[in-house]
Amino acid sequence: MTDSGVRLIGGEMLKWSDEAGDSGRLPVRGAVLAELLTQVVPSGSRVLFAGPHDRALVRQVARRAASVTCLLRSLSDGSDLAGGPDDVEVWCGALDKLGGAGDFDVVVALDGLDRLDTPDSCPLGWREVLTRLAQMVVSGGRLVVAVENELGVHRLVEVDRSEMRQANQWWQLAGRWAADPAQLNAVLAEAGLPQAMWYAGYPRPGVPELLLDARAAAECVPGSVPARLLDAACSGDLGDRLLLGDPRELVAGAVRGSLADRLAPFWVVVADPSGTKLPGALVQEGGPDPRWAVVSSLEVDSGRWLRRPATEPAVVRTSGRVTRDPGRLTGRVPGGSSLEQQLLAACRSHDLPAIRSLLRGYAAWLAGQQAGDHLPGWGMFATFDNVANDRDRFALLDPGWAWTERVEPADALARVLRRFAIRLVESDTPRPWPSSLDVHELTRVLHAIVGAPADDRTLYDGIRLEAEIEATLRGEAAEEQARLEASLVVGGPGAMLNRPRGYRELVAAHTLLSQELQHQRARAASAERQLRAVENQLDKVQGTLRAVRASASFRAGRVATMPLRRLRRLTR
Amino acid sequence: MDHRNHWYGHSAVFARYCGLDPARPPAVAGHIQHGWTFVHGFGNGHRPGNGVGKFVWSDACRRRGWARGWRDFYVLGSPWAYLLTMEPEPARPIERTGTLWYPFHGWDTNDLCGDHVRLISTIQEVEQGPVTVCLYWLEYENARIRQMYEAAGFRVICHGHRDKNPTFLYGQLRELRRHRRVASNRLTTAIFYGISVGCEPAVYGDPMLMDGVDPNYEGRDLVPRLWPEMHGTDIDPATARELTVVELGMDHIAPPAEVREVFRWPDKRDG
Repeated sequence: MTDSGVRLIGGEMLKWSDEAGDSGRLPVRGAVLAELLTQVVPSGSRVLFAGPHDRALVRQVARRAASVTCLLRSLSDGSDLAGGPDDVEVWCGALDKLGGAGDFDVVVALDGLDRLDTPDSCPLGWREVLTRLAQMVVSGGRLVVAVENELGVHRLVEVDRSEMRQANQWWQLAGRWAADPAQLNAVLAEAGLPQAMWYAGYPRPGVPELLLDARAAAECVPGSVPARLLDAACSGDLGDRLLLGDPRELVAGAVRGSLADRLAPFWVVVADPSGTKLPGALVQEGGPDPRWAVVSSLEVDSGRWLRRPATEPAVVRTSGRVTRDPGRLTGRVPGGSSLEQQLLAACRSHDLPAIRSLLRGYAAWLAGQQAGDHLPGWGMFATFDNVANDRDRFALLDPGWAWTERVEPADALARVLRRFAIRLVESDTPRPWPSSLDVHELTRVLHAIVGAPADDRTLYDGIRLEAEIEATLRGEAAEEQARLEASLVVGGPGAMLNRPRGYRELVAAHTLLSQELQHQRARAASAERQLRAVENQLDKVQGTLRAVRASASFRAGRVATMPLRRLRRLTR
Repeated sequence: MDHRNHWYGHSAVFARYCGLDPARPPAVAGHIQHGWTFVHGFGNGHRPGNGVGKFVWSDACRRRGWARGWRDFYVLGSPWAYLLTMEPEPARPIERTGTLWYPFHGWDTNDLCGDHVRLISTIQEVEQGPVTVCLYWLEYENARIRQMYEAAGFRVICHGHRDKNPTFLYGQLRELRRHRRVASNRLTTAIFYGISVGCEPAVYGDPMLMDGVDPNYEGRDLVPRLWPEMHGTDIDPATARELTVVELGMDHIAPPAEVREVFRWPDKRDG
């Protein structure tokens, strides 16, 4: 035991901190996991957090549990936690030093299986780690464990693999990956902890935004509610990571191939002999910012997905002209894929009639929502990624957003169409419009298609509103809003939605630009040739003119008409 | 602007559709397909590069062009389809009679090899009512060819030059609406135009051969293989209409504002 109250079990890491990101990522965190733990950890239970977890998660459980123990491998992390205000016991060292059975009602290992050993451990593969964790659970207790999937979407789009560049955390490579759910089940069953719930987790292990019943992930079809949840989970901010390509495309393919469970970035397994009923999905909507994010439980009832916000009572949040009411998310989740997905698909296949039909259907629906000459507050947030369309029945996906002021239909449309134009250009989605059209011109075309032609003023209104909303949602100051606005005016989409182009998109953009450059060079050369031809003609004409002027007849004529010309000059 | 955009008055039709002065259509930021084709919408030697809008009639043209490496297609439908939206069938249509027959024509740069006498004989065998023969201006200006058709008792007309003739399509529309049938010895633009305004189509007779044309653009044998149902003296009207909607892009008509945007034309309020 150290002075700060850490129980040293052996193998602790002295110059290492998982909380500072020494292993390439921060401890697992997020409101979705907080909600899962609320539902899984009974009050008054003895809980073990195995591996690094965000302090907020630990603190939340500690408030209800009889006792909380945290097993950490970093001495500095352990000392910091033990010396802090949270009433938790800290064990520091390697999992393999614990030995024997534990007596915990719940063992939580949501950070995964790979940060429980140390360079001093005998090498532990995932089977060994899982078995040891299961042994820590008292008979009848629960194990909640997250397992990163080697074949997860997040890995398949990864450019920079830390193990390939021999990053510090990869002191051992063997037995790291558990890529087969059946093998995981077998290990749990052998340990006497049959899995009660298996969630497919998206978009990446460290910051889950969606836990979806793995069966629903495997069986869902394009256009279904689970398919849309998967798409939305992969559409958020991907940080500054380099990517091979857009994960949304990959997950859409996974849905088509009934593989969305097998290609999940991670799985969360709840092993619980008592078979506690858990929701069909836990989802965080409204972006990663906790000021706006709302976590909801989703249940299937007679084929319908019903949503219930987890935070009760629902607190309305407001900033600037944006307000968010989580209470409005309660109720049935509309079916159909998002209008954005449908439009992108129509763009890819150059199906102009479908594009026109979808856009006009949307515009008619939006116009039908008007009260008097303005839209309800949510109208400003009826963006294509936030509207579901099921055979021309449109519905808001996240009705929690609203504009605090009067929404002019033209303003809402200007923002929505610009956002989609940005999305099109940014994702390099093949589209039926000439590739030479930039974001502004595309926006104008979209306006034209919906029958609401845009002048420069309307286009600028769309930019202004998009910048204001983005800055408000990010909690950024007026300067940042001005910067965003300037970026949109230039037509630079990348900085706007924070979705970096993947290598695939860069290659495609490079190819297109090369072709266009080649063409523009040919055009410039052709124009040069034409110019030379015209100059030659001009030279000839001027030569003829000079010859005429030098001729005797011309000079005689000038002499003859001189009095007349002088007279005209005088009378002017 | 590409001068071919003015052929048959296509740019003028679009200008009128967009509320601009058809006598002075602005420059189109791209190339408008100027006739029905079984290739990519553009003729041999007409190679609009990538980065330039290619405004084609049907999606098939886009697909074929795409397959040979061209990009920036925009399926807009034919100017004819737009013309029909502005020139609907009169409330009291003229009584239709006879056949408007379009012999396959040569081009400015290519002559046609074929036996007009034999073709005239075939027409006389098949057509029951009066026949109007519409010759391309090249053949029309050739007195020998014109007189052959006139001597057969046919009314012989010409829609005029394709250049500097902004009312070309209007004259063609007027003529087609007077006739019960439209026929040719090849499946061509005029057949589809006729079908679109209610003529019964027929494609028969010696298809003739054009001299010195790139075989990829000739199509004499390819087209009947691709659309056998569109060849013969009696073609199923429903099938013909269905194909016509697709080939003339009548299902791709864009609103005026959209046309203005993709052509990069000024708003009519500015213009």
